Amino acid sequence: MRLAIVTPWYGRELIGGAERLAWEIAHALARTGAEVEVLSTCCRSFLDDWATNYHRSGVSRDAGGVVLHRFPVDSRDRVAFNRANTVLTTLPRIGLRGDRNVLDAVQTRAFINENINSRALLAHLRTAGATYDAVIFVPYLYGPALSGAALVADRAFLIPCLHDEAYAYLEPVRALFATVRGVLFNSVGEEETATAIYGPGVLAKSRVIGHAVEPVPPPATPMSIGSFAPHRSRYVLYLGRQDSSKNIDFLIEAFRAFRERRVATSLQLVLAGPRSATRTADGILDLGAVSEPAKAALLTYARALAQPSIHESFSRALYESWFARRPVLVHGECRATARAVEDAGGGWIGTTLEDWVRMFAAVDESADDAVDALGERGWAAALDNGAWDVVARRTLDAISTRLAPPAGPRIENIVPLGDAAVGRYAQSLTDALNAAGADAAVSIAGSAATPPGARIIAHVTASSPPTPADLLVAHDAAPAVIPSGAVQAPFEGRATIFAPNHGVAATLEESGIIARVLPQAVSPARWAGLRPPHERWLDGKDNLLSIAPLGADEARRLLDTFVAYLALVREARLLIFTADCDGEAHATLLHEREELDLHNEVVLVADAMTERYAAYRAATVALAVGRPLSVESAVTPLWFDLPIVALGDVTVMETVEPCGVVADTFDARRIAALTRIVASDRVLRAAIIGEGRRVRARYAPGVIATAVLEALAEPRRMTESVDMR
Amino acid sequence: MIRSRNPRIDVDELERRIDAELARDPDAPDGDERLARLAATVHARAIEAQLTFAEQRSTPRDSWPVDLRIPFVSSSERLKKAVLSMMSLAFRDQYEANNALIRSQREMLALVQTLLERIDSLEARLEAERATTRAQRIASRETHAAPNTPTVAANTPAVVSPSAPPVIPSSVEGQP
Repeated sequence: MRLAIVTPWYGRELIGGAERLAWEIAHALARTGAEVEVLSTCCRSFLDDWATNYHRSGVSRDAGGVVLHRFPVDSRDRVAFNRANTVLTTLPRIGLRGDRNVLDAVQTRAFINENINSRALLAHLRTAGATYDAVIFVPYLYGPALSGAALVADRAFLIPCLHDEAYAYLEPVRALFATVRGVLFNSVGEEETATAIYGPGVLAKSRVIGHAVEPVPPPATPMSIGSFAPHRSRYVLYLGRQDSSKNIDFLIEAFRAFRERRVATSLQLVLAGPRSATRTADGILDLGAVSEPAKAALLTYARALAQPSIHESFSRALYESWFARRPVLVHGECRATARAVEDAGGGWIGTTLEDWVRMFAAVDESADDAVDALGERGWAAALDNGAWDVVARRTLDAISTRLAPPAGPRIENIVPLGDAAVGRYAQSLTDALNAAGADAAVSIAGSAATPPGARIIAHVTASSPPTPADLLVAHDAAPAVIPSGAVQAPFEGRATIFAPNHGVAATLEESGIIARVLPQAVSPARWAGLRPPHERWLDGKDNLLSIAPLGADEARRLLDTFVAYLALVREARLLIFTADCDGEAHATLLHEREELDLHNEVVLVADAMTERYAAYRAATVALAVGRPLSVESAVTPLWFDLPIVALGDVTVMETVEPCGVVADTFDARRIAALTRIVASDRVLRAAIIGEGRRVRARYAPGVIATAVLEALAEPRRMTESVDMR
Repeated sequence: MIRSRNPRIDVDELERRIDAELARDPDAPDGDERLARLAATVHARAIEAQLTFAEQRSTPRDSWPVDLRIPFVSSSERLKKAVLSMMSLAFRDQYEANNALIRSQREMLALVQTLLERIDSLEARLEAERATTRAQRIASRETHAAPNTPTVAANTPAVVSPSAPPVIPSSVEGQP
C-alpha cells in the first residue's frame, strides 16, 4: 500500500503531540511494508515563524525507509491570523455548543488563508494525490489539512488529534470532517468529542486506532533531583508543559485549597515540565524541565499523577504514569482522559475544585495498597493499549476496510409480502451487508427466482410459506402457530436461526429451537453531513424530546408529564416529531396546547431530516411515554448520546433498560421528577450515556453484518424447505 | 416503580430522589401562578384517570379471568358462571360502597374544579378593581397637581425636593 502522511511540521526532534505521532506512525507504517511518503513543509516547528523556510525543500529518505517531501511555506498576514485566533482563544466555553458557528466569515477566511500554508504541497497533492492509495492528514487545524483534504477527498484520512476547543467548531473544520473518507482517532474519548461536535454521522466513518506510549524504565537506583529526593517524598506529580492551556492554575488552586484544609499533611505537589514562570506555594515544588532519568524517578516514586488538562485527545503522561503503575487524577470535562480512566479504573475523575480537593484527600489518606491497586489497573490498560506496530496495523486495517471492504457473497433477503416491520428490518440488514462489502438485496417471497449462487436469508413469520434458506430470521415465534416438532427437526444443525430480539429467542427456545439474537441494524450514517437549519432550541432551556409514537391518549399523557416537569423547572420545551403522531394525536396536541397555553413550550417538529437532526442535537433527555417504541426510535437517541426515560415495553427492555431508566407504570409527576433528575445530574447522565454507547454498539451495522457473514461462512446449509406453519 | 439494568445506577436511591423532588412544593411563594394552575390541572386529571379506572373495576365480573385456573371449575362453563354469580352476590354491598365512594370523589373533584374557577374569577375581578383604583388615583393626582408646577425638561435629571410628594413605583401603586 502506498501512503502519504501530510503534516505541517515533521522531524524526530519535535516534541509536540501531533508531531511525535506523525513521526512514529510514519515509521511504524513503513515497518509493516507499506510505502510511506511524508509531505511536510520547510517550516521548522510550531514555535517558529510559519512563513519562514528553515529546511531545504526537496525529497530525502531516512534510515527507516520513510520518504520525506518538504515544500516551501507561503508568506502570510500574521496580524489578520492573530486577530482571528485571539477571537477563538478568548471565546467562553459556554459558547461552544454542537452546531453553533463560532467565527464570522471574514475572520474564518483569515484564519484559513493566513494559517501555515504551502501552495507547493497542495500542487503536489493535486498532481500526485491519485498515486497514493491513501493520504493521511495529521492533525486537523492547520493549512495542509484544511485546504488539502478536499483535493484527495476519495482517499483522504484524518488523524485529527481533536479536543474540545474553539477551532473544532469552525465551519472549514466541520467541512474537513465531512469531506474525508475516514477519521482515525487516538482514543475513544476523542471519538466521543468528535461525535458531540459533529454529530453521530462521524461514527459511520471513524475508527479508534489508538496511540502507543513506550514505558519509561524506572531508575536502577534512587536518585535526587537537586535537593528533592523523590524516593523519600510523598507527592502528586504534574508532568508536562506548565501553561494555562493545560489547566495548571486550576490544579494549583485545588492543591492550595487542599493544603489549607489539611495543614498537617505531608503530601506535596511536584511540577515537572517547561514553564515561563516558577510557581511556588505551600507544599508545591516546581522543578521546571527535567531530564529523562529524572522523569523516570519522579514517575516511579509518585503517589499519583495529576492531569488537569481539559484539552487532550490523548494524554501521553497518563499512560507513562500507568506504565509506572501509578494511578492518575484527571479532569471530568476532558472526554479523552476521563473515558480512559473510567474504562481502566486506574485513578480518580473530578470536575469541580471541590472534587479535586477530595481527590487529593483520597490520594493522601488511602492505604498504599489501595493506591497501588489502582496503579495496577492502569498498568493493565497501558499494556492493552499496544505498541506503535499494533497502531499501524489498526490504521492499515481501518484504511483498507474503508477504501474497499472485502467483497462478500451475493445475498438475497426473502421477506413476506405486506409486513412493513419485517421489511424495514430486512432493508436495514441489507444496507449493513452492502456496507460490509456483500452484494445484498431484498425480494418478496415468491416474487422472483433467486439469482444463482446467492445465499438466502429467509425472514419468516408464523404465516410464511416454506422457504429454503441458508440462514433464517424468525420474526414471529408464537408457539401456537409454530409446532415445535415441525420446526426443530429440519432446522437443527442445518441453518443458523436468528431472532430479532431476546423475547422471540426465548419463545423459540421454549419450542426447543436455539436462536441467536440479531437485532435490527440502526446506522448513524444517515445523520452524516446534516446541519440544523436554525438555533431556536439552543437557548439553555431543557428540551425534552418525545421519541414514542402517539395516539390521542398518549399525547395527553405526554403533555401531563411535561406540565409536571414545568412545575419543577419553570422553563422547558417539549419537542414532538409530527411523524410520530397519528391524526387524533395531532388534533389533541393542538387543542391541549391551546387549552394549557403552552404555545411556546410545545413544539411540533417537522418531518424534514434537518429538523429531526436539530431536535436530536438540541434535546436534553429523550422521553418515551407513548405507544411501544420501534428499535430505530429507541436506538437513534443513543447515537446522539441522549439519556432516555421510558415506559416499559419489549423494545425498551432490550434497548433502554440496560443503560437508562424505565418506569413500570405511568405516573406523570414521578416520570417528570425522574426526567428532571436525569436532565440535571451530570453523574447520572454520564452513567446512562456511557452504558448507552455500549448498547448502541450492538445495533451498529458493522457488528450486525459481521454476525451474518460469519454465520453464512459456517459450513452448514439447509436444503429442505421448511414449513413454518 | 422504576428499574434499570445499568450497574452504575442505584434504583432505590433514585426512587428516594424522586420522592424528594416531588416533595418540593410547586405552589411555594416564589412559584409561578401559571405553573401552579397547570400543576393543579394535572392533579385533577390524574384523579380523574384513577376514578375512571376504579369505575371500570367496580362492576361485578361477568367473565372468568383468563389467568385463573382452578381444577374442575376452569373446564366447566356452568361452574364458572355459578362461581361468578356467587361472588357477585357476596360482594354486592362492597360494590355499592365502592360506587358511592367513587360518586363522592367525583362530586369532590367537581367541587374543587368549581372552586378553582371561582378563585380565577375572583382574581380577575380583583385585578380589574386594582386597575380601576390605579386609574382613579392617576386621575386624581393629575387633578390635584398645581397649575403653576414647573415641568421638567425631558433630558434634565429629575430632582425631588424634600417637600415634593414621594414617587411611587407604578408596580406597587395600585396595592389596596
